[in-house]
Amino acid sequence: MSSDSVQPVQKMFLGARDTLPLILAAVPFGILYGVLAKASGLSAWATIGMSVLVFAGSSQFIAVTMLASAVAWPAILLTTFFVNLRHMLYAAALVPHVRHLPELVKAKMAFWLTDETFAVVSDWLRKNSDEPGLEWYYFGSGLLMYGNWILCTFIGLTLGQSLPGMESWGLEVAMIVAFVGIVAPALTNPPMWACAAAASVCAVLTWGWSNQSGLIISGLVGVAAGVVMEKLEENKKVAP
Amino acid sequence: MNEWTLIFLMALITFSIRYVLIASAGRWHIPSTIERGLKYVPIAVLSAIVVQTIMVSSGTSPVQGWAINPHFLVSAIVAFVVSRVTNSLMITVMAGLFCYGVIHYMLG
Repeated sequence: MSSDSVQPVQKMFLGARDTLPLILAAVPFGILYGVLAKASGLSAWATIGMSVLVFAGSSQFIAVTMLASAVAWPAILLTTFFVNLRHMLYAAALVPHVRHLPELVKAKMAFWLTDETFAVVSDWLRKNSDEPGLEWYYFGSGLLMYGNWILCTFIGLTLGQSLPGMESWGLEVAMIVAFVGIVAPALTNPPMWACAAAASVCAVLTWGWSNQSGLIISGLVGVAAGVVMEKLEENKKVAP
Repeated sequence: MNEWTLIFLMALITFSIRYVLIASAGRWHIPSTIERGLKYVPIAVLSAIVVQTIMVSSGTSPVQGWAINPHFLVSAIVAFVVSRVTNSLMITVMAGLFCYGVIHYMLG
């Protein structure tokens, strides 16, 4: 395989394959969303429609929870905005890698941007920096997440209330171990360790801040810690 | 407003957040300090998500209303060790889920 070949189908397959472990984590959330949406009074078509058009797990959860408790719509929209703000950090991180791509490709990448696809694509970028075909790898991951999300919404709708107590199964653990599996191998130098440590400490301190604003603050603190440590290391090398 | 209006507005907000910076890629120069910081975004945000998911709200905790879910914490530590050893995401997820299954459902 020559290094400048793009091979869209193979790249999409790789992206989808690398996303499989994270699909495990997303399945229960998709089903739970379908169940909760039905209970909130949202119509079946609108429940599916939200997964097709919005495609943002945490804000969909919050929206149906707020609908169920008859919260005013402006509040739901404002919450949607703040809960999804961390995607702007993800988008910023992708900017250096998507500069050369056509507008339509960039728009599709933006639509399919989720925690999971960003995690998998970042991991791939770390290992294959600036290898051509990033967009195809990304689409493989994004399409699998998207198809899975819509399918799981449908399953949740169909199951209805037949899974009592699903919220207490500890579904979040799949997401925890999947993200640990992305973070741990990336801790290869002091700046990365500093970044993860600072973000983790900050996450403890900002836990419970409204609309997941603690995640954005912790993300920014982690980034700053990584950059500072990188500069400290450079100075150490320069100094006699 | 009907439910579809809400959905279209949510879709518009979500897509705008995801698209605005990606759309502007290549149209402006990123300062080098910010550019070198961008590679830390995934590790920083994913670490924060992991930590905040391990912490659970608890009415009984003495500290600021939060506590740690010990089953989540042990599963995360096992996943960390497995990940460092195997470097495989699939094996890490399987090991983490298996560990959680054992301590949560068998040991209670």
